Amino acid sequence: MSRERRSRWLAPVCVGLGLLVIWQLASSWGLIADALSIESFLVPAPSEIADSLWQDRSLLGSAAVTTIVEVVAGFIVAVIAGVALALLIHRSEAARRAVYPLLVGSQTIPIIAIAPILVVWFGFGLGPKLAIIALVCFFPITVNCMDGLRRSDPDQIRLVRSLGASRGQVLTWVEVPTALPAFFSGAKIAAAVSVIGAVFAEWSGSDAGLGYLIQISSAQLLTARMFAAIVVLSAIAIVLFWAVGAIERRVVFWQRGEAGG
Amino acid sequence: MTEAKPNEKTAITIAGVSHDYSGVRALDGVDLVVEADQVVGIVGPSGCGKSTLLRMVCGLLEQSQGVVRVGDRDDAEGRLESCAFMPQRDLLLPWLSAIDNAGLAPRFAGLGKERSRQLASETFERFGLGGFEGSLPGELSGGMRQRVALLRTLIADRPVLCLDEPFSALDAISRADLQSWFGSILNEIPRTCLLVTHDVEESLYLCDRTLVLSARPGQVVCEIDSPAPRAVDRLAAICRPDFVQAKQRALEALGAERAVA
Repeated sequence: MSRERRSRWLAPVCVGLGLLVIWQLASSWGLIADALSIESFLVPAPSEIADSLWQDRSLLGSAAVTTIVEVVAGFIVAVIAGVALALLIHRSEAARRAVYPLLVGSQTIPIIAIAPILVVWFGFGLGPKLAIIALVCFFPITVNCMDGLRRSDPDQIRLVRSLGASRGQVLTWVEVPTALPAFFSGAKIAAAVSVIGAVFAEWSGSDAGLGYLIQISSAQLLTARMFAAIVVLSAIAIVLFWAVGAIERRVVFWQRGEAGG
Repeated sequence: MTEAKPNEKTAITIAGVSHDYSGVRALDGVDLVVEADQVVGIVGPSGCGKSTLLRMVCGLLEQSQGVVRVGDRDDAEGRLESCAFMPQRDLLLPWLSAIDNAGLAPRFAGLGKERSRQLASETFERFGLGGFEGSLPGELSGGMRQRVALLRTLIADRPVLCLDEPFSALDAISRADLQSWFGSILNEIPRTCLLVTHDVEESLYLCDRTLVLSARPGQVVCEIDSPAPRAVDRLAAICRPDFVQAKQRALEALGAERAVA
């Protein structure tokens, strides 16, 4: 068990370290800059990024707090909206026909293009940022929830109906628990992409956060700091993803003992 | 344990019932009258519509033609309220403990969690499930899961039990065990019971009489009375000459049908 667990994280860590070493050597020998015919300071080595992570820690830290607040709040909005839409569509065929094409349509909108106008409409506050993050995040939640709700075993539904369950009881006792694993799959995808929404939102109108920091560092050619901000952003997404997974293991407790019998 | 509701009248009346699945006739002109507290078996080749017949009695399916009456109700809703249905698969909800699965019907009826558990726990010991109240279905053996499912069906406290191949998913030894155990339960707590099975021996042992259906479209070929329904010594019962004779008659009726079809 412990060996299995070790090999689970050992392999990605080895691959990651290997890539970092190659990057480090290539950039310190100037290979990347030469190949691209650019100045070598534009291609920071991992050691320079690590240095920036430490030197700029208070700057990165306060930017991270801003972004974390946006991402977590936006993610929660997306979960609420996504689940509510899935339930609505599940309960009503008319709603499915009316809303589903709009949902798919909403995903074809280039969010980065409409983000600035949202900021013009709703101002510099948290509102438009939540809207943009939620717009990026809700779709995988809704689609997975809808599939999960429909995945219930028809025999199972017949059985609980014969035991006297009302339609509402069928939903809460059978369909919702059946849909939970699918919901969490959607929520994990949403958690991973939520930081992308946050960066779009901050680029469109903000004076704080990691996205903003990436933007100004890039403009000032502070490439090491820009990469440091990206590292922090990825870490936030990974932690959020992991947190959703941890909640899933607690909520969907019955899937651990499934194989018994 | 809950007692069967007193019912002096005929428990189940099936008259001239036919059913079509998208143009294909599954059942053709079936008649059957079941007295209160009688156990009637229905055997037939697969696809003969025996499960279809059972679902109609339970009110989970509306017949294309004919009358299906349970007690004094001939509408699907009324039949649903009068019958407890047990399908071939145990269909226990994996997220509920054994005792909560057994007590589903009182929960749906609005009794609280504690009251429902109390109702179930009264018979848990007798069903050989003592000590497994808090186990999840995934942690139970196939035979135990089936017993939980039977308990769930009995606790529903309906005048009529409808069992659809309740033991067919089990190995031969567990099946024999559960048959004699279920026979003793039926002797103790008489219920009107319809048992669909493909196992002639199971039907002849557990039921007062057995209805043999033909291949699709299902029609009644013959009716066979059991010589020793639910005898305490199962092995002795199934080895009796008149039991073997009855079994031979049933198998011949099935075989003859198959040869024609």
